[in-house]
Amino acid sequence: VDEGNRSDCPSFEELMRLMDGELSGERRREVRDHLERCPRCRSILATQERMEASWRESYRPPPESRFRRMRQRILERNGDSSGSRLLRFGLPVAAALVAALVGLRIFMPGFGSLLGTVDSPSTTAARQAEQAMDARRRSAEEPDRAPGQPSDTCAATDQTRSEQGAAEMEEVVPEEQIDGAVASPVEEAREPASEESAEPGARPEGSGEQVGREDRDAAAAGGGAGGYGVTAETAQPVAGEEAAGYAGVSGEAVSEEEPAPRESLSAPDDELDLVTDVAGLASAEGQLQEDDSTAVAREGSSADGMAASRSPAQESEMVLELAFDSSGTVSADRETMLDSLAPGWRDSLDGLHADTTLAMTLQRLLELLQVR
Amino acid sequence: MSAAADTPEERELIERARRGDRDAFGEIVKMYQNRVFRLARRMSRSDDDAWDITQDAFIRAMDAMERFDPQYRFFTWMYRIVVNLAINKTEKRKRRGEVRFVEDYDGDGCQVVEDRALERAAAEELAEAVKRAVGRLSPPLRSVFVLRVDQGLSYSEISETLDIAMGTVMSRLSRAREAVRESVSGLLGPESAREGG
Repeated sequence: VDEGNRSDCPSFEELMRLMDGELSGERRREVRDHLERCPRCRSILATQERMEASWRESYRPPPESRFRRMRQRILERNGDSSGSRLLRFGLPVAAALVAALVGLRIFMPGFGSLLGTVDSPSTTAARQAEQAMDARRRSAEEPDRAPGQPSDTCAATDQTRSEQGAAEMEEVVPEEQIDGAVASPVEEAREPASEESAEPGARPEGSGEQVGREDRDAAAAGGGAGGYGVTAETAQPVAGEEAAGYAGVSGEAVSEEEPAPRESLSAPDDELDLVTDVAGLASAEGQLQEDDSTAVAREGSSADGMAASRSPAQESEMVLELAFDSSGTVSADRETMLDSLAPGWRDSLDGLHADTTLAMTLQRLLELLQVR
Repeated sequence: MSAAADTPEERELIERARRGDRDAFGEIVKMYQNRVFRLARRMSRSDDDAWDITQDAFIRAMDAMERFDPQYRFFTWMYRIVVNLAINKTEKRKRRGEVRFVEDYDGDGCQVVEDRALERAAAEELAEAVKRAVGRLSPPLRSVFVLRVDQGLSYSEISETLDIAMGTVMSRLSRAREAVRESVSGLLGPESAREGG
């Protein structure tokens, strides 16, 4: 119940529960009666409904064609979606990338360490990228942040954050717990907050792995529900979103400037065919060297005739050039290639290199992509 | 928009998909793609992110279908995957300094923004302001807000989806709404009036 001279007004939460049809019993009747005589509460309710409706109705669905292409990609996969797929399929991906050199600008070796000696504005960017990736790799290798780490209590998570720093938190939801495995939530509706009293372990658990949820000690909770007598909250399915870790309003949000639409997952069919073909080359027989030769042979027909005579050893020292425009994106054909071969590549590269050209060896590029 | 419970047809498809029937899973994707994408879009900052999340979510679901227990509702499981992926992506962007958001809203429910601008603003203007305000919410608040306000899930369904207690749903939703209200009021103009009581 609100304070001050409006002590008889229901709380904002109660008004919202009424609006959502989630207030029942006697209290529902009382709040409705109150609304009849309180223009202020009616106004709050009306403006809230209007705001939410305008946002809800502003949604514009994408065209079916994009879904169709997405379905095709999903169903054509080999059935592995974990973040470590690149490691497990390193060889095919490596071979595919080699094959995909067709169309990429290739420099002849002879510079020693490529990143350190290529005389290009991209050198600094490449080094920065490497440093960033190395930092991520180091943090990923931290045993204390193993994926199996339970989704901590709010307090524990906050402590973890303060100790390790948010920048070192590799995953909010441990990678292997994203899908929750078998742990679909229980069907039965839970009791209102006033009755749950948040006893640790009191709620029934789904079988198998839960997506990062464990009932927690009441002392760890931080976001009580005010008038509903909630004394504690169970932990969020992801670590560290609740309570002290989010205490206080900090900073202002940045403007949500959306980048120009990209066809990252819905490249034109002709591009997809090209990538599929490249991937097919890569996986055929699993012979990297053979694929390298194929790639080189193909490349030989390009303007850079030098490539035709390269040996596999020379291939490993080739420098690839990925040009990032002012918005930090690479060209559409490179995107399509990378999307197809390594859907998570953006997490490793994207956004790091606006207005730069990244030049590095194929081997190094693969290492960067594997960071994820 | 509201996610209904699994129908018998859905259950049959799910069962076939669990046995490795890809066509059945394709039908499931068709059935859920709009809802899943919409949720992903509301949870993320761009269409690109939403497509990444949507595709990844379906792939993960496909890979884990065999282990899915059909006694539970499929959509809550699917939604949970989406929300978790969206949160991870948001956190990654946050660590890179690409986004910032209100980490939590400390409103106590006793002060509610009342603003004439909320009544007078055009629907498009309101929608844009709410969109920006939602983008400022921390992932825990945003997920609850989106699941309720945009997806139309009941509190119980949100509780299932996020695997959090009902009380947590209610408190987060209320805080999210207060935060959005305050944000929108600030975005609409100078007429904001945060009144006590």
